[in-house]
Formats: sequence, structure tokens, C-alpha cells
Amino acid sequence: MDTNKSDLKYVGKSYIREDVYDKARGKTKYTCDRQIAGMLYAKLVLSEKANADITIRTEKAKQVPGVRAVFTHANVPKIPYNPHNWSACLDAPMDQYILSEKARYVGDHLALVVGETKAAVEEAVSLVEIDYDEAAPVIGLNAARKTEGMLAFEKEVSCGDYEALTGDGEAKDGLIVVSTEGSTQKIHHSAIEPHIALSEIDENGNLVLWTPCQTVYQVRYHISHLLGIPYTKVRVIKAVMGGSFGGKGQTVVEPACAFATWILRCPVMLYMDRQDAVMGTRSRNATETRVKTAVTRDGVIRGRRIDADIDGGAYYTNASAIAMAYCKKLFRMYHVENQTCHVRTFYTNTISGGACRGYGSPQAHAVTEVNLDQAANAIGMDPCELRLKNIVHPMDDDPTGGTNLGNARIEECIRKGMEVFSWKEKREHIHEKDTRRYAYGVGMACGAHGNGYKGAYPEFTNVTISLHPDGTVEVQIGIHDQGCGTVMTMQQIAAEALHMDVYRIKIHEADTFITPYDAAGTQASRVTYVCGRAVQKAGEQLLDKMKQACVEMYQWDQDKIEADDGILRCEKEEKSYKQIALDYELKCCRYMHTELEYEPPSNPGTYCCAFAEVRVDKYTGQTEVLDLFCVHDVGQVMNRTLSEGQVEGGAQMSLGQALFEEISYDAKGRVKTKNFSKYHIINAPDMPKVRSIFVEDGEPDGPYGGKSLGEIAAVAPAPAVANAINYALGSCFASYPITPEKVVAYLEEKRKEGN
Amino acid sequence: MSFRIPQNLDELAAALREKDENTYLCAGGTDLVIHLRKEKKFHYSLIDLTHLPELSQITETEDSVIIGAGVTMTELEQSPLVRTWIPALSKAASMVGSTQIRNRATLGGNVANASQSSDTTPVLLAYGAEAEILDGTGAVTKRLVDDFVEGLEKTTLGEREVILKFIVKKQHVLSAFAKVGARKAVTISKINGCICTEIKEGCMMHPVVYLGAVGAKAGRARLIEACLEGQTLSGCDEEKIRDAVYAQIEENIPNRPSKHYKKSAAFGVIDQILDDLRRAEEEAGR
Repeated sequence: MDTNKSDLKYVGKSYIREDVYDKARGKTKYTCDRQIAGMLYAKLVLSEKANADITIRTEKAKQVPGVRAVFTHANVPKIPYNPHNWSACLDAPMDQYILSEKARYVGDHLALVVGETKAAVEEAVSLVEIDYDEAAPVIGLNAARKTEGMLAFEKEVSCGDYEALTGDGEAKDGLIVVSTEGSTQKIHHSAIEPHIALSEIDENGNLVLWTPCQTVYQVRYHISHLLGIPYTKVRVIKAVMGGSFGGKGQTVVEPACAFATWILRCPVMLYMDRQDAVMGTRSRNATETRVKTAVTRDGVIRGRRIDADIDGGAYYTNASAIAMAYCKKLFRMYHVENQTCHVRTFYTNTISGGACRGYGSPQAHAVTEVNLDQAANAIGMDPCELRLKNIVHPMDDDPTGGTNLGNARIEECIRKGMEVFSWKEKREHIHEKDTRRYAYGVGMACGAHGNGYKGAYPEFTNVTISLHPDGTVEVQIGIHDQGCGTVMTMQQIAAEALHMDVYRIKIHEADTFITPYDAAGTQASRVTYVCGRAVQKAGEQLLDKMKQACVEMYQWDQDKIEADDGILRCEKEEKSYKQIALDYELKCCRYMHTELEYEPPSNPGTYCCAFAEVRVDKYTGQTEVLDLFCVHDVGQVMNRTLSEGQVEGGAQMSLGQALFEEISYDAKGRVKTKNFSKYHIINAPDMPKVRSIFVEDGEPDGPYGGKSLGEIAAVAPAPAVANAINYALGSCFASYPITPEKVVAYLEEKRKEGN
Repeated sequence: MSFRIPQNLDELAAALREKDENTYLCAGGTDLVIHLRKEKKFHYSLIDLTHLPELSQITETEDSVIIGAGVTMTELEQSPLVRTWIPALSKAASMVGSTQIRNRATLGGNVANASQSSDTTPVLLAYGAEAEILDGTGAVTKRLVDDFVEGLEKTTLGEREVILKFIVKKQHVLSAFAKVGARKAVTISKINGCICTEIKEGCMMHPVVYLGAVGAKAGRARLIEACLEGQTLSGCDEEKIRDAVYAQIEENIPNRPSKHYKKSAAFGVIDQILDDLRRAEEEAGR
């Protein structure tokens, strides 16, 4: 790191985001609040069947007064795409159209109704007649494994030789092999704002589309590819966003919206409601995992084998990406000499998989972390001690040839967590709280995640940064604030680099006409680490240029120039940034700005552990999380309030995975949890106070030592809660969500055995 | 499509006379709007019930508490009269939906919607509540709630009938309500229950027990009643009660896969209710 942490003036402080005042007062205009003259509304007609050939009749729908058009597959370009590919240079198979020619899952996009009012559109949607010629659907991994042709992707990644270690199931050298099977469920992202897009044709004939998305360049690529419009005529603007959590990571509604505008030559707002978003977008991939861990009696993990099957859903989307993401993390958490991870992704007639906060990590650690507790149990060792014996250390290499783990501080996380949570004491005495009705338990778990795409995909970004003659600074970089404060983070980094007021810096969000190209968008936990570092470097570059200009214009001694709060000083002279910008234009005939293309040199690991205390109601089977304590290895906190918010929000999602959430399907592939009355996310009364601390030891290539946090925050709480429940009940739950029904079934079984 | 806002019972009766099958009664709308969306109804008429003073009051006579059908859950929760005479109803109302829902949802709607998961119905049934019902001729009749609620969103109320008020006899009993949903709050009952019992010399006498969401309609749990009869609140035999509850659920829903969970959960509900009654008894004793 170039800067000593104690010198930081802006980074790490709890600056208030500029957008919060309007958001808190309900004044912010989200896409759904916007109106453009002559704007039409559009809604997709979703399939009600999971696997069927279709015939669509649109006559009745078209007769609804105010309806302008009803499109089906017959009307859209016969060009396939893969909404997962964020760049034209990626090659995941392209297998879907703007509107499908066949129903492949309940929620598939079959028709598009466009009309003058929402009322007309809604009515017409209900009048689109679809005849389904049904075939048996494949629902769930079990069915997919038994059906031919459903395997979408398969890969085995390994180091050492696990098979040699354990032979034919016979453990050697006094090794104990502990097996665990478990699963994770399909999860809806539950952003407050369902998917939406708004498009129009501007005065120059460009197609302009506003979308609360995570990658404008991806949306531009897909629209250009599908509609045959050159990149140069497609302007995609990231709109104010009401949450994404990965759900808006892939292109979802944008092509259909752009298509309607392009054909009808009218502004169109394509909106979804909650049911549409639950059924017809993307979900976290469901997984089934079998893990075997070979451990010595003194707690050294000699080997591990993981077999994971992933439900990829009806289209290819991220079938390979999610499998690789799942695999890789398991080699970057513990030092295991002999490890094999075998992953398969299957097609099923359900919602397709997509990004979801943590991308594979919440699945990968869900079962393996429970397995580790079972292993600790088997050898009579404290689960924290077992982990401490096997975790990775700073600057370890990835055994599969991936990028170096960087300043991996998981050991410090666990030790700090144990101390603050009073782990040993609680573990020893928690059962003293038990009553006839309630059982208490504590548990912990760890998680690993990455910092961008380096080592897997093209990873770079571009920044343009300008100092204007009013003293403000404008930063152009393709970021997308998903509500977690990315803009403020960038402001703080730029302020630190430039030594100036955070609120005098404007960070534009991504707009393909305004911000320079970014390789991958706001995903993969890459924004702080990659884009943040780019902003830091560009800021430093601009400051250097300003100093150079002062040498030139005022004959200052370069070595004696100091920057402080928007002023450059040299001995007794000083100039405001504003003055420098003015003078520079006048005297040097140039504008004070700089550009930078940045490729990160590394992609280190980021780590966390969570400690949970639970109370299980043995009668109703309900689990209450009484305390959740999270420790994150973040290198350097960017904004303390926002960081704590990320940990709390991540915990809310992870606890939902642990206890409540699931997109569930019946045997015919119908969605049973279409809205929030059946799809249960944790609400405030069930949410524990989340306590968090951060380990800040600095990541060498991160902005002021920082690295990722938003995604990994959603990883460890779920397995920590599973382990706590298992400690409370003596159970071995590793299939999520751990519902009251599952708990009661387990206890009833135990009660019968007792009788 | 029309939207009528009757201001008195005459106007209401007139509106009922003209009501067709495409006209809906709307009080809080918290169930109706969901229903209309689900049924994809786009053209319909409404009769707004929120401007009728007769429907919005909680009053008492010497022997009864009278609750207007348009009284909201929030009002039920907060009413001193209801808290005193029908504490289980106040509790049930407090656990319906979210704050926003409770501010709009009405007792009449909750009963007339006849969901098997209704939280207020088991309480009204345990108290043997009656309802006053108005028809299109302006005639008012009295019927037991038990007589017209069928469950699974069905009642025997006529196309042109509307509930005006509920009449609950004042009884010297303790009552409590509990429910289990997916979450602590803002949750639909997977199972709920109400116990209404006299206490004599510390023992439960003639306890009336209703369980909801274990059958089309909240049902009387006679096996549990028999088990509780004569037991003291402080010294309940837990295993006996568990057996009675399990037997009751087996009887109610022998063919439902959910019975395995609901047996244990119902035991949790009864345990919670007994706990609340114990506390109420202690408070009454003070």
C-alpha cells in the first residue's frame, strides 16, 4: 500500500450518501415513476406450463381498447442470445429469443402486450390465448439426472489425489472420513423494485433505454445483436435502482422493451409485477452437494471430495459460470492437499439460473461448512480449532493454478470472532439455557469469495476524470450503484486521491454514451477492488498533472507541493483547484483531465466468518436467531456505515436461505410461491441485531487496501445458523431452508425412537 | 361499472337490491383486491362499506359486546371493551397481517372471506358469536357465525346479504389466542387456536377449544376440551395434552401430509395459549 492507514482522511469514514435524502422521503424517481410524452406500457405474457409446444391467438387481446400491439415469437427476430454473456467476446451457448417459440418453464416469456394504459395492458395480457401441447416436464435435479440430454455442463477440478488417499472408500493412515449430503434452494432476489425498462428513440434516431441493470454494456451488446442496430446507436443508461442482488445482472426485460420501441417508434415502459419477477426472471441456482472429508484424529484435513449438481433451469444462461464459481471457492478457503470437486449443471423446466449475491459461494459453503462441523464432532474437536488448523494463509497460492490468495486474513477473522462472541464459553454453557420447549445452540461458519474476474475472464476498466473551472471534479466510469453506495465509495476514493471534499466530486453512473467501456459491469465483487483502484490511480494521475501544471504556470518547486482540501500549496503560495483549472485552460490551452485504462494485477480472496446463537422451538419447529456476529476480512473499510449495512443486508439474505426462502415448484412445474404471502423473506420482527467487525490489514492492490464485501456478506450466516441448530438439537441439517416442518419431522422421529 | 357509497342502511339495502354477480362489497379491500387480481377481473362494480356509522362502532349492552362489521383489526386490538370481554379477539386481531393490513382489514371481511386461516373466526366461534345480517329488502336477521361460515372462502350468505355487526355475549371466562405462521409477524396462520374457559377453584371448567387451519373451517377440538376439563392451569399434564392434540389433528386432517407438522405445531399453539391463560389468571387473581 502506498498510503499509511492512519493518514486516510476520507476513506473509511461514514459519509452520508447524496441520494438518501430523496430516497428516505420517497422523492426519488425510479423508472416506474417516469413518464415520457406518448409513452406506452408493455407487459410480458408468461407461460403457465413448464414444457409445451404453443399456439398463441392474440385477436381478443388486440381488441381491448388502447392496446397497440401484441407480439409473439412470430414477430421477433429469429436471433438467439444468451442473456448471461456480458460481452460479445464470451461464448456461453445462445439458446433463447426475445420471445420464446416454446414454453420451457412456468414463467417463460411467450408474448408481449403493448398498450396506452396499464389497465388496458393488464386486461389484454389475460386475454392472450395460449394453447399448450404439453409434454412431461423435468422438475428438480433428481428428475434431471434420470432424463437423457439434460446435462448442460460438467467439470472436475482437483489438486493432489483424493482417491489415492482414501482408496476404495477405505480410509488409510487412521483417517476418518466424514460424509454429508445437503442441498440449497432456488432463491428469488426480492429486490423491492421488480424488473423494468423504459426506452425511446431520441432526436438523432438513437435507441435510448433506461434500465436498473448491473451492466449497461451487456444490455447494449444484446440489443445491438438482437435488433441489428449498431452499438453506436444504442444508448443504455443505468437507471436509479430499487435493488438487484444479482437479479438484474443478466439482461431480462430490456430486449423486449427495446424491440417494442424500435418497431412501434414510441417510448415504451416494460414493467413486471412481483409474480413476474418471481417466476419469469432468474433465480439463485439450486444445488445438491455430497461432500466427504478425510481428517486425521488431530484435525488435519488431508483430503476432500465434493460432488455437486446444480439446477440450471430452462436455458443455458450461467450453467458453466455458476459451476466454476462453485468449484473455485472451495480451493481458496482451506488448505487441502488432496481435493476433488466435481460439478454438473443440469437443464430443468424451471426458472433459469443467474447471478445472486455471492454467486456460488452461498451454495458451496452451505453444505461443506456443515460437514466440517460434523468432522469436528467426529474427532471431538472444537469446530473453530478444526478450521484454524486448516485455513489458508496470506499470500498462499491457489492449488489449482488460480490467482494468488493475497492478504487472506481468515485466521484473524476466526480468532477475533471467537474472542468477541465468547465462543468457547457459549459453546460450553449454551445448553444450560434449554427448557422443555426451547433448545439453544451456537454455531459458526466461514466463507470465501473473490475480487473480480482476473484469471477467468477479461478484467479491466476505464476512467476519465476532469477538474472543472468551478472546482468540481467529474469522474466517468461504468459503475452501477445497486443501492449499496457504490457512488459514495468512489467519491471517497477519489477524494482521498485528490485531497478534496467528497461532495465536490460527481461520479456518473454507467451510460454507454457518457462513461467509458468497462469489461464486466457491476458484478463479481469487482467494483471496489477493480473500479475503485482505477479511480484511485486516475485521481493520483490527475493530481500529478495538476502539480505539473503548477510547476509550469507558477514556477513552483514540484517536490514542495502539497495538496490539502482542494488547495495546492507550495511554501507560502497556494492555489485553489478551481484557480488551477481556470489558469490551465487559459495558459496551457488544455482542459484539466486525465484518462486511465486499468487492468488489476491480481484477484485475491476475501473472507468472512459468522457466529450465530439460535433458539429452536421444539414444538413449532421455528428457529429464532438471537444473535449474529460477523467478522469480515475487507482489507480496508471504505465507508463504515455502508459496510455495516452490507453485512446486515447480506445476513438478511443468508438467514432467509437458512430458514425461510424457497421458490418451490409442484410436480408439474407450477410455482407455489408466486408472491410474498407464500415466498417468505425475513422481516424485521424475525431479524436479529447483526453485529459486525472488520479485519483491516490492507490488500496490496486494492484501493487504499480495500477489497470486496457486498457479496461475501451473504455467505456465512446460513451455515452458521445450520451449525447452531445442529448443536442445539444434535441433528445434521444440511438442506436449506431448515423449515419448521423439517425440524418437527426430525424431532418426532427422535421422540418415537425415545419411546 | 359503478362505485356506490351508501351513507345509511336504507341506501345500503337499495344498493344490495341492484347488486349483480359482478358487484363486490368492499370494506378494507385487503382480501378483495387480491381476489380480483387473482381472478383477472377488470370490469366490476363496488359497494363501499366504509361510510356507514352502523358498521364502524364497538358498543356494549348489559349482556353483550356489539362489534360493527367494519371495525378494523387495529380497532379490535386497541378497544378496551374487546380487551376486557374478548381478550382472545383482541390478540387474534393484533396478529393479522401487517400494520397496514390491520389498519384497513375489517372483522366482517375476515369472517365473510371465510379463509380456513382466518384468525378472528376461531375466536368468534369459541364465544358462540352471532351476526346481524341485512338483505336487499332492508330486513335484518340474526344468525350464529357458525351457521353461515363454511370455510374455503365460502359462506351461506346470500348474494344480496351483508354482515352489519357481531354480537358476543358477555361471559365470565378467560380466553386466549395463539397462532403459528411461517414467521413471527406478517404471516398467514399455518395453524391457530383459541381457548375460552371458565375457571373454578383454579380448574378449567367447560373449556371451549377451537383450532383454525386444520380443516375447511375453524373447528371445535372436543378431544382437547375433554383433556383440559378439570385440569389446573398451573399443573397441566403435558404429555396427556400432547396426546390429545395429536389425536385431534389426526381426526381433523387424517389425509393431509401437513398433519405431521401440524400435530406438533398445534401442541405449540395450545401450550402457548395455556401459558397466556396462566398469566391472565394470575393477573385476575391480583
